[in-house]
Amino acid sequence: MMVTDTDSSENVFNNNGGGINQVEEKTVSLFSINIRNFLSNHLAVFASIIVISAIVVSIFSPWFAPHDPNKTNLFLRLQPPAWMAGGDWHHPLGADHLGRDILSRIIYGTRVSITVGFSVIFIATGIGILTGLVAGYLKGKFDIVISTVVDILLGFPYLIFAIALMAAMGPGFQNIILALVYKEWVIPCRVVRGETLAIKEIEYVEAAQAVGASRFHIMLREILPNILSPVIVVATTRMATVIILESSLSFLGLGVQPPTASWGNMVADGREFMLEAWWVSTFSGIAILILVLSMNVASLGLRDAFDPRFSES
Amino acid sequence: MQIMLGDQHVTPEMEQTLRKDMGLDLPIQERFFRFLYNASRGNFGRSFFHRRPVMEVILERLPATIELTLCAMLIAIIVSIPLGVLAAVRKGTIYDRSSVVTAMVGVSMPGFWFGIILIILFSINLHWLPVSGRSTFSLSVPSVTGMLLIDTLLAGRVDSFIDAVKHLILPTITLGMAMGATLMQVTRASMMEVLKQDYILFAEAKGLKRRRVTFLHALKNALIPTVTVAAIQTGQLLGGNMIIETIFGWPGVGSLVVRAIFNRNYPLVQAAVLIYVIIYVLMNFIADILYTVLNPKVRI
Amino acid sequence: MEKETSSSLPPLLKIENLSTYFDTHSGLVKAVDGVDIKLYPGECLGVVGESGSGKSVTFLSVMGLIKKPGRIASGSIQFDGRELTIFNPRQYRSIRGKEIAMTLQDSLTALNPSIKIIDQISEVLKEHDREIAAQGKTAIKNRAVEMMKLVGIPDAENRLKDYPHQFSGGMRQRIMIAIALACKPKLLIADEPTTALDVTIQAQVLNLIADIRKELKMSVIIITHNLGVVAEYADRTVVMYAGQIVESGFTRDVILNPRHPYSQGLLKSIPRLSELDKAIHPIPGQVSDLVNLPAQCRFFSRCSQRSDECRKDIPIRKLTNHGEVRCIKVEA
Repeated sequence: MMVTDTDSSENVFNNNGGGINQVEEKTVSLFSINIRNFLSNHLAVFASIIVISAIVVSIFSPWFAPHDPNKTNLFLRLQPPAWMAGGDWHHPLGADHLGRDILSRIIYGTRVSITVGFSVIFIATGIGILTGLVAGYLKGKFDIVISTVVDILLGFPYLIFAIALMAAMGPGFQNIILALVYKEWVIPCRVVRGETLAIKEIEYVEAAQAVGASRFHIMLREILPNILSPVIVVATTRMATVIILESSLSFLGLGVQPPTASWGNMVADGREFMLEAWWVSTFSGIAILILVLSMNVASLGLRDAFDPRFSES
Repeated sequence: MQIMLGDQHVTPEMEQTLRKDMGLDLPIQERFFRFLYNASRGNFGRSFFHRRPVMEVILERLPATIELTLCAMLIAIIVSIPLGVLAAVRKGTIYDRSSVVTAMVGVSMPGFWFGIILIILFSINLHWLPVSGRSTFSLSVPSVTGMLLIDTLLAGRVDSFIDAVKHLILPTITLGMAMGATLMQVTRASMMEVLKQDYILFAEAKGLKRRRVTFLHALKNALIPTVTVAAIQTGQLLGGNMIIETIFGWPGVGSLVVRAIFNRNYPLVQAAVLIYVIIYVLMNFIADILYTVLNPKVRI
Repeated sequence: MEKETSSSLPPLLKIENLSTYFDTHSGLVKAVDGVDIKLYPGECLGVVGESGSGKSVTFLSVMGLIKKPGRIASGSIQFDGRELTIFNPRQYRSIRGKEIAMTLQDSLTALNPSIKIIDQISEVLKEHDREIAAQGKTAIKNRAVEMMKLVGIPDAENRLKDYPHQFSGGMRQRIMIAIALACKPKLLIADEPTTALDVTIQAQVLNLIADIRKELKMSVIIITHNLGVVAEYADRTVVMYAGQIVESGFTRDVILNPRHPYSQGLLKSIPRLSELDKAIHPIPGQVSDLVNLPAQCRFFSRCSQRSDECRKDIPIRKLTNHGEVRCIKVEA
């Protein structure tokens, strides 16, 4: 993989001598993440820290959570958060209708969101890259078949498709991942296919062909590194959407089943008690909001870091 | 089969007849074609739950969904396009930054949660707006179009009209939020692109008034991608509809479908999915047409 | 074709020590740095330079069209006795299109693709010409047709409702000129009027500008990198390099006897039909980085005549023939 820490903020008037070579250099190393630029974007860095923290929390939930998320205690039923009357700091964010600590459930809920988010994106992007490369590079029959499938899948509104699938497959952790992957892979596929088609024309691919490299080799070594930047940017943006989708499905009860905590079903739980206990729904939703917002901001920063020229000054 | 019939007492013969009637004994391709054939003749089968033809049930609740969707679209457009223009024209200022931040938050919020928060805030705590439903029974009016906003005005009942509006506000805001946020971002980006163009410079070099340059020269071009996105987004609103309607107890097709899924009322779900897909494809088609109409370069 | 300047009249446009800077991410770009230009009524001035020389930015500054991150850092711009640098946006808008008009290089991008030609012409009239505006739509339309005929658009009446992309490149350039001249401005600034055009059309457009100039007794500034254009049509010529004027004078003098090494290089690099067998002599190197300019002659790195005494800020000096040069090697 070519990861060049090049200073891509070139000044139009840069005098490097030898004009033609300069142009070639720029187009070849399309995958060059400008780390310096990213780090100077304080907001994006802050957002990335939040995302990373979420990952850490999801892995080390037992260490972070003050209580067992599934431990019920009917004495504590619907206890308000600590700063309100009737609350105490043992349960900082209060307790739900079964007396379970909300804070701990939110912490454990991170597992569901993060795992589903990353799994879906990894798998979908993997499939997408494969199919996209094949469709874009090999064209012909492969392209027609793959593109038709993509178009059909795109024709379905996302949520409806997912719900229909879940209804057919039944709820559950693995099924959610599957259902979401089913629709999600078309997006990286489309991106990869487009980029592959564009890059195919550039000379160095022809050069490799002339030397006799196998098609597989070309796809892997020449094309792939250069389409990675848009793919990564798309993947990070989609992760945010996938997390919202997962929580929507969980909200409807199609996600992980009780008593496992997921942010979506926590909001659903609280809905019955909106009148007396607003905190049951509110805080889990805030967690979703924070994670998704951070992902969006971080991916925006990532996009700018890959190619500062395209950011808005 | 068993689940669908619920707790009615079923004899094996009944089951057999039902199977045959529903065509479940035929191979899958045949079932699919049968479905299409029946569908094209408007026959979607009967819904078990309601013991009425599925189509009837759906059509009955359609106006409610349409009313909600249209209102959400309208609000989203009215709010986000001017904000997007403002953000682009005053790039880098507080207007720009705050619009971008709001849009980002709007996109990152789960719709179902936002709706619940709104209910908690405005209905439960402040008692300004009703918690759910579409109207108060005592203020009903005869149904002409099925759209309460129109029917209440037709019947001359201002109090019913206000009641209908009050019920509409929260669901509309919730549904329109996601669409509005994206629309604002698209408008802003598109406007910024347009403002960089030479023809804007030339228009200024002509000494034209600023307002004319912004709205006639710039916006006219900037709206082209915006409108297409709006059309496509409307198709996607259909998915969001289901959850929002459920939360607000809105008697539309969305909440109907959600319940049908849980009740395993397959004929209804099938019919609904088909309708949704058709509308979605239709909206994309409309988006294409709009693009052609608005962009003189592409017109035939 | 030459025309003696009416140097008895005061200059229509007087640019004094103009500096326009851009605050970019990479640093401060001094796009225009201490430029002095005088333009007399009825005169045609050629401004020659390559990309990055500051030629366009200078006149965008005159029009008040420099936007963030650019700013006019210092200097004065006097037009028809008025000081433009202290104008507010409203005042600028009252003279743009009416007293000073500008055309741009690429006619395809300069005309709004979504607005009909008739509207793009008539809006200038409606804005600046109260008389015509008062006379109503038909009067405006007639004037628009008049303008289009003036610039040589065939079948003008029927083409009013067309959009820019329905015209050829040469036609569009003419339409731009029609728009610019609709209110009979005192000064026309033509930025690269021929660059995007075929060679045959170039001559047509330039002749058109020359004819109209005679008729309206207008002053014209032609910005170009093409010396041939300047040689044929400009009374006086200014050569710019890296934000500064390096040579100026009567076109005849600058073309036949260039004093600055850069001007000399420019002339030498034009391939001539009569010398097909000789090698082409481009000027080696590229324009220097405008961000970190050392205090020396800006042409230093590419100059064949450079020496150590060139390593300081070079002022511009007057020559005996009413010209100016910015080079120590030249005797006044």
